Amino acid sequence: MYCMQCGVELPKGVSKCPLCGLRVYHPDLICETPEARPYPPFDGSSEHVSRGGLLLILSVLFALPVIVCLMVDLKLSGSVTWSGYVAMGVLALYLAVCLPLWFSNRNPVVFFPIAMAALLGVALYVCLKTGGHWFLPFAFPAGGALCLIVEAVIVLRRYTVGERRYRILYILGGAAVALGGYCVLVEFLLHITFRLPMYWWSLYPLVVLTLVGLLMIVIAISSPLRASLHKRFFI
Amino acid sequence: MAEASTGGPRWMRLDNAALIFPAAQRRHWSNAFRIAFTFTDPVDPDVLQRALERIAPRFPSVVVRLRRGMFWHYLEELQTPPPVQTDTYQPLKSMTGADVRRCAIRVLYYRNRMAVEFFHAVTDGTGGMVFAKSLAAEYVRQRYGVHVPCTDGVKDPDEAPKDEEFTDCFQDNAGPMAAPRDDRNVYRATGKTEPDRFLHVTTGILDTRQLLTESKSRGVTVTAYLTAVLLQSLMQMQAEDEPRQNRRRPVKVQIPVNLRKLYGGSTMRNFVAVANIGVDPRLGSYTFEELVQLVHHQMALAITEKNMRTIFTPNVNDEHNKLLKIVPLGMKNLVMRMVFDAIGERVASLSLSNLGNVQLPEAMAQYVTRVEFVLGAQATAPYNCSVTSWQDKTYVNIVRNSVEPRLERAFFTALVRMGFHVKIESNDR
Repeated sequence: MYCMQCGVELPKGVSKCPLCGLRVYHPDLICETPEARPYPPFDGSSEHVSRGGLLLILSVLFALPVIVCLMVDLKLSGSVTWSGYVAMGVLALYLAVCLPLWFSNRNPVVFFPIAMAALLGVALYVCLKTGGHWFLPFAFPAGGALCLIVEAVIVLRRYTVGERRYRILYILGGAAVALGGYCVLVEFLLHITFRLPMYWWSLYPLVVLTLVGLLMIVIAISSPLRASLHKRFFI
Repeated sequence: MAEASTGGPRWMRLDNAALIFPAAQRRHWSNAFRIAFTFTDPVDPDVLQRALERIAPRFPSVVVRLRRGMFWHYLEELQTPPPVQTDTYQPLKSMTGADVRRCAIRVLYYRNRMAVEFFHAVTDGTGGMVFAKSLAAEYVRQRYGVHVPCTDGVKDPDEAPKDEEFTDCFQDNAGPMAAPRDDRNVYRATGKTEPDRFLHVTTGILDTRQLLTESKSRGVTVTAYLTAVLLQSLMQMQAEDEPRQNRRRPVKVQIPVNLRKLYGGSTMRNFVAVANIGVDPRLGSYTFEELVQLVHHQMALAITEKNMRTIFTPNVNDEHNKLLKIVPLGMKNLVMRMVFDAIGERVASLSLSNLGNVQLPEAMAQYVTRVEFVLGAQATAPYNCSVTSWQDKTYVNIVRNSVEPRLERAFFTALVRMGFHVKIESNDR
């Protein structure tokens, strides 16, 4: 019995070629008695590779300063004051850095929003503790918009197809234009939250980033322009 | 040299090449290799156990366990050889630190096959083959009641071990000149690692006479011929990974050289050094004829008594470094592990280890249908390749711990296109 794709001989009775995965089957083929396998069959008890132990140690290392700070704070002031900031900061860091390590598939599409949510959680805590009123009108929309832009770049980078270097030009071009708009949003939010005067400084980055972004998109679209730029700027 | 403590078991320092292996060992990877003999009948585990117990005292440097001293690891002779075990679906299952502290070798059986797996700190392929042959010979003696003479590498179990078998030959043969370390910027194949570190073993069975005829027609050895096919396959893989030719990296194959042939000696410890043979794909494309000739000439230049001496001399010098000597073992291990990760494996794309055509005494040859040699995967790259021949068949084993069989496919289909008849076996799940 031979693999039709690789041309190698295969032992009798195998279901697929080990090299290319092509199924060895033909309706006219007489079912032959399988040859003995070179190794015992897989019994399902594969060697479990777990980083659980290491991650547990890492989690304890994160938890220790939090517990120490909380205890000292409770002892000194009788309530959670400054140690709350430490606890929230460490928790956010843990969620951003260590949480993905618990999973085998560390997809940034999932874990980046979690990290951003953790950061916004810290901001909300600080806002509530200090009696500020800046979370809902400023931190949430500014952080959320930034998260949306970065998330869009990650998703497009990961799940769209096409020639790599031109695809990245489209994505980065779009991201640059969006970042320009983001600067305007930030200035506007600062204005309505903190009553800062509108100087329209954000128009400068908006214009520059929009031009850069559009240029990247035009370069990605136009192959004669790419050839011309390559001719003039090759190193 | 083995050192006998009063009343206790014999112990010996690790040889120079072995020093790195315990340090580089990790939870899911250890540098190990396997030699297997397939017999005409199913293996009788009781007879195999008795054969092992009979030959173990003849090999006090092989039937050992690894122990920790304050400054260095050492090997300690085992008074009782390990029990033979049934083979599992997973050959070369990682030898953990606890495993090698109990015994640094494993004797396994499955159907008609007996296999010995060695932790590389104990011995090299040549020493391992002598041990496996002697075990197989003793098994045949006891199983079939035939007289097997102690020739062709089979040792006499009644003979006392010789002093020269314990020698660390690196120390005696180091020279004044140390070669600079090789370039590390070589192509290293990548691939999605199997989540449970499953080691795929794909065996290509070729006709030895056809392989010999083909290599001789080009005026090269079988090792050089197979290395050229391997380099061609690696270049093909790299071209798929990196379309821009100027960004590609040199491809190199590490060929272990049995130094006993160059410097003499019959040590049972490691006495092997590697020659890195390769080409640079950035210079252009190569025809197969070009590759074969390049490999042949590079091997001729590298594998000489003088050149090989310069390759292992730096390691011997490091071992004698006074500062390094007084560093406690734990710290030494950390440093050696870092050196291994940074330099050790990164000088070549993978290894191709050829144990050559196995010779056995006529009386036992009729009971042996197959002899195989399997090298474990590398620590930081998915592939390795090992070759051995028995009678009219050559067994080329490619191991990988990644999901996709890219190298195997490129390598064996290249051989098919060259007109070889290749039969493929694997331990695929």
